[in-house]
Amino acid sequence: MKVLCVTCLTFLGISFGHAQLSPPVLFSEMNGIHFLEDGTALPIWGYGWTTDGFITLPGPLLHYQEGDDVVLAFHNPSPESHTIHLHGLDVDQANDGVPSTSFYVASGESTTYEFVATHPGTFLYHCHVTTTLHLTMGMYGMVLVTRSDGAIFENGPVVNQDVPLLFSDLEMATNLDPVGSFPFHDMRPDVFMVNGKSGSQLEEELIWTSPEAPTALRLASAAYSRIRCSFPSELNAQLWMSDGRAVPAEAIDSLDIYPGERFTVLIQPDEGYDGGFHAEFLHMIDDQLESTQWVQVKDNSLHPSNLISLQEPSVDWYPNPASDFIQTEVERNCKVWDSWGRLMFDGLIGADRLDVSTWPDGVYTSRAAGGKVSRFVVSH
Amino acid sequence: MGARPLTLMLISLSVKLTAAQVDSVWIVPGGVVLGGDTIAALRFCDSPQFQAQNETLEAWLGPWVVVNGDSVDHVLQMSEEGEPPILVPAGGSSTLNMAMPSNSTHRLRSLTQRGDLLGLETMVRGEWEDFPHYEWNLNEWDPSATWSLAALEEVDETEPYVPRQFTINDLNFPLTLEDSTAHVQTSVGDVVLISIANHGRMDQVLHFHGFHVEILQASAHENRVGWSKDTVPVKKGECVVVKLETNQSGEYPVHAHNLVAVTNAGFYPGGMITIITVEP
Repeated sequence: MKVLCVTCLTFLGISFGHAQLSPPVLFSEMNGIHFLEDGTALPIWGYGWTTDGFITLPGPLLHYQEGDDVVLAFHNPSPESHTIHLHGLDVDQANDGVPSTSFYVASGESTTYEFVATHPGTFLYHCHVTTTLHLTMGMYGMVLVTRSDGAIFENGPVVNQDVPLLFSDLEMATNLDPVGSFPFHDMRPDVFMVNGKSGSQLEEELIWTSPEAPTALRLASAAYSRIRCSFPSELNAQLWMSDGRAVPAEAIDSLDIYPGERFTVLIQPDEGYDGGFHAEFLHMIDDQLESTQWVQVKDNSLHPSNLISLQEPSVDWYPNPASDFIQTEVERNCKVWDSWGRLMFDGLIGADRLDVSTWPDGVYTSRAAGGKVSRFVVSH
Repeated sequence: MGARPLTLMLISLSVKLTAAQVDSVWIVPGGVVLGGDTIAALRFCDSPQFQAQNETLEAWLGPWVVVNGDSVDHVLQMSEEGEPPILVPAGGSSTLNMAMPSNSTHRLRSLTQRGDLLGLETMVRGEWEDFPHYEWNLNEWDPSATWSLAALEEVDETEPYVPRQFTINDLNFPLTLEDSTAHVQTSVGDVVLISIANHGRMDQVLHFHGFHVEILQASAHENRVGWSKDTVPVKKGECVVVKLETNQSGEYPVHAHNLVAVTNAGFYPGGMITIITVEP
C-alpha cells in the first residue's frame, strides 16, 4: 500500500503556481460543465491538468514514449475520493487504482502512479471509485504510448500521425443528479460522443490524411454501448493492434469495439478523398441502435489554407485569474456559466469590463456566439 | 495450441434410465438469493437436491444421464451448430453421450423460455492442456421474470429486458471470491486456463487488471485466437478460453467493463467481479 502525501496544492493553487510544476500534475474535480451539441451545459466530473485549471471531457491525453519510466502525479482537490486506473498498462497492484486492492486518493490528497510504458499502443485511464457512476460522469481519458521511430510497434508500419478517437456516452439524468442516480442497472445513455463531441461538434475532429503514409486511428471505448465503426473501402482500413498488442494485420470494413477495448486501425485513402466513417452506438442489452456519429476524413490536398481564419475564435479573457474585473480584446456576445452550470452573464463584452467582484471563487466557462469554449478563474 | 485430432461430438437420445452405468445430472427447480433479490431458478445439479450453482460437465467423464426433476419438459442443446436438440421429459431422463473435441469448451442450454431465463445452462468442457482450469459461467437475471416463469406463466418477450443481477457461476460479487472456480489463485510464472461461457441474453466484456491473456478459443471471434488482450468480449452464447501466465504478484480484479454488470440490484460494487490472486 502506498503512502499518500498531502501536498500544499489547494484548489486556488491550481490557478496560480502550478505552471512551474514539472512533470505536469493531473487533477480531478467534480464541478465541470460540458456543452452538448444543442448548447446544453451539463455537469461533469473529470480530469484536467493543474496548469490549465479546468477539467475536460474526456480528460487530457496522456502521451508517453515506449520504455518511459512514467511518474504520473495526481492531485484530488474535489470533495470525494478518486483514483486513476491505468487500463491495459498491466501495472502492479500498488499502482492499479482500485481502492479495495490499491488505494484511493481522498479529498485534498495527492499521490503519484508509477509504471513503465513497456508496450506501445492505445490504453485508457479512468477513476475506479464507484466506477459505474464516476465513469459516466466523465472521469476517463486515453493513454497513448508511441515509438520515436514512428512505427506503431517494433518492426511495424510507420505512420505519419496518430489520431486519438475516444468513444463514450452518458445518461443526462445521471449527470444532472448523480446523487440520486442509483440504481445503475437500468442506466441507458442518451448522449453519444467521439472525443467528447457529437453531431456537428465533430466537425472539429476532422481528420486530414496523406496518401503518402498511413494515419493511425487510435480507437478506444469508455462507453456503455458497443461501438460499430463502418469503414468505406476507399479508406483502405487495416487493423493492426488491439489492447496495446500487435495482431495479424487484416483489411477491415467494420469493427466492433466493446467497452474498455482499444484498436489501432491504419487508414490511407487516395489523394482527393473526401468522406469519413460512421460510428454506431448499440445498446449492450438489446443491441438497439442508439446513435450514429460521423467522423470526417479528408485528404490534405483539400485543406483550405484559410480554414482557421474562418473559425470564430474563443474569448481571450484577461486578467486570468481575475479578482474584480475581467475583459476581452474583442467585443463579443458571450455567455458565462459557473461550475454548477448556472448562467452568470449573457450579453456583450468588450471594452466594458465585466464586474466579477461579487462572484464566488471558482472556474467559470464562457462561450462566444459561434465560437469555442474558454475558461477563466475568479479568485479574491 | 497443441490440438489433437478432433472427434465428432455425439449426442444420443434415450429415455431409459441408465444411471447405474453412467454419471447423472439432475434438473432441479429452486430459489436463490442474489444481491438482495430472491430469484426462482433451475439448475443442473449433481443430486436430486437443488444447488445454487449449475454443475459444470466435464465431457470426458460422460456419458451423462439427465434426469428432469422439473414439472415441465425441457429441450437441451449443445452450443454446436447442427447438433440435434434433446428432449428430457418432465419426470423422465435422457442420455448425453459426449465425445467432445479436445481443447474446446461448449455450452449446454435449455431451448425453452423457462429454462433460459431460469438459468438452466452450463459449461461442457473438453480436455485441455494440463494446467489448472477455471470456469466462469456468465449470466444475468431479471428477478420478476423468474417468478413469472416459476408460476408457469410466459414472459412477454416484447417488454424491455432489464436485468438487475449479474453473475459468475451463479454468484455475484463478493460471493464470487468464495467460489474456487471463479477466484483464480496462482503463483508468479504459473499458467492457468480460464473457460468462459456467456449464458445470458446480452453480450459481456471482461477486463483483466494486471495482465494480458492469450485467447485460445473464441467461438464468435475465431479470428482472435492467438491474440493477446486485456479486455475480452464474450458475446451472448459464446464460449471463450484464455491462457493466463502471470509475471507479478498481487491481487488483480477481473470484471465486466459494461459497468452496469458490476452492480447488484443497481448498486456498485457487485455483479461480475472476481479476483486473480498471485502469490510470489
